[in-house]
Amino acid sequence: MAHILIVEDDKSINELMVRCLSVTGHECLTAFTGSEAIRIVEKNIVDLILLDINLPDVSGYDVMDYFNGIPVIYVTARSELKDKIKGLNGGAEDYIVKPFDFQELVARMNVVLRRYGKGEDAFCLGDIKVDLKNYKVYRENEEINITKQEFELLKALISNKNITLTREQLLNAAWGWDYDGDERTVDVHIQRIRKKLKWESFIKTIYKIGYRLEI
Amino acid sequence: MKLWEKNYVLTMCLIMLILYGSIFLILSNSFRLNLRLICEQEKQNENNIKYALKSLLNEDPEHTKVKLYSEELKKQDTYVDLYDGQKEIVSYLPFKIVRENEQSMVIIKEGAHRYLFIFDSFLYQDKDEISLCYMGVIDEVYNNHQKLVRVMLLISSLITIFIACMLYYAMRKIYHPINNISHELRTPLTSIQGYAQYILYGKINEEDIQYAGTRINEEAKYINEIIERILVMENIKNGEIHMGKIKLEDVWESVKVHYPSLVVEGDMQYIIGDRTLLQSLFLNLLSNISRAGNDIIITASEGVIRIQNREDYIDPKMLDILNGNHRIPKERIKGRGFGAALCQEIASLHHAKIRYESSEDFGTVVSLLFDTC
Repeated sequence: MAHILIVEDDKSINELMVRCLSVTGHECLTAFTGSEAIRIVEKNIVDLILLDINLPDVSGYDVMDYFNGIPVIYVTARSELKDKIKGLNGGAEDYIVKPFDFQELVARMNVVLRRYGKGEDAFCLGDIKVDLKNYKVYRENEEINITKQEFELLKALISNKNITLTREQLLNAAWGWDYDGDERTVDVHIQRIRKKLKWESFIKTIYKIGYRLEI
Repeated sequence: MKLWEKNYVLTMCLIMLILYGSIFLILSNSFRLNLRLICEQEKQNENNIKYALKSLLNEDPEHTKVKLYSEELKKQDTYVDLYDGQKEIVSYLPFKIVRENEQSMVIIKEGAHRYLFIFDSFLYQDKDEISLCYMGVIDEVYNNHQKLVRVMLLISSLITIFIACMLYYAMRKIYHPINNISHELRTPLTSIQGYAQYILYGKINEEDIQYAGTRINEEAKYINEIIERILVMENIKNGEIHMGKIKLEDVWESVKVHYPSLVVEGDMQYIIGDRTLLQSLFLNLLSNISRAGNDIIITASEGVIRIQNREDYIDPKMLDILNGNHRIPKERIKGRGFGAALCQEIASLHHAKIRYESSEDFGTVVSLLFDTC
């Protein structure tokens, strides 16, 4: 779980990001203006900032200097190349253009958090502990044999907990974009994971879509 | 490079190709015609000289008169050589050229000058063939051509610059509203897409679904509002407006559907204008002024309609931008980016002025000053 500051003046989008990130287990702080964001950063622990450029009081570029050491991802409607270059050269870790896919937002956030050593190293659910760093799974300190693909699937589900992942997304996560296999391969591997980890009640099948790790 | 910039460069290249191509064709044709004309003139001159020389040769077998005449010609930049077979009669050509392929006319460039050589012959005492080599200076046609090229290049460069500027501003003017609209649409689209994915992929309860559905509905309505505004602006630009005497009470009634707590005061009864546009104007002004609260009073009297919100406050910088009718900077746009511009357009169409006043004491007042009421 990371502490995310959402700096977005549009109430609807701000609320949306809070809801989406809360679902995945992150703790969210919100700011609607640049000055509010600066105040929050001064008083709270913030692991990552999602920053809009068009803020009512100051530009997102101008408040960057106040976020020393905290990774920033721009989430903005400005899609022009010069804005992207300005944002990334200004020290942002990533640049996401609205409208964005919220699973993509989560994925990009996870990458940045991992880069800053703020990603999850281990995940525990029931008597299962998943060592995300060393690719190992334990039940009460006893290692469970799990294949690479099964672990990748598990990792994708953990990174997107409470979010439905499509079979295609899971296939890409575990086998890569160039894998030409059937999406049903995912079903077989998910069954195996469920069985090995006894997670039948946690890994939900979402009809006609895919799977979701519910906690 | 943006698409419109690429189109601009392409159009300019095409314009330049056509412009300079046409100029090249005109200049080359005009030069060819002028050259032909001067050649004909020189040929005529040569003919006159030929007959003069023929008669002088007949009159004076010693060729004294011929020499004197040739010297006179030399002073006028016209040179002749005369040969009786291989024997030279007079030779005043500054340099010699070799005649090739029995050609009768040739243009030679020597130093900074251009010369026209005409080769001719005539019969002397009806038996000996005399060869005549005539040389005239034809610098004038080349100099004129060069001058014309310079003038045309200057004119075409000025035309190109003018077209380039006009086209650039015209294309930018077309592109900017599209850019603003696409920017304006991204915000509600982000919400719609985001909340739809939230319902589709998130582990959420009934209450969350209800909330997300409401948001999607509201944002869809906002997109509809934007589209309607675009259509209104388009109608203004196309001049599709219906001016008439409008009862203000009817306008307030339709506005009150969106702002039920609106208070209207004053004795102004009618207004001259387009009902739809005026409705759009008041809705926009109310939307802009009601962000900080809905305690709004409208006072309509003596050709002035004042919309006041005591809870709203606009900072002086923004006030300057609004009163100066300047484009609102991107970073200062709050959601409804082109509302202010739309208001200004509708107001100017009704010969009205919009004045914004704001202070922490009395809040914000937007005054619509009508010339004709």
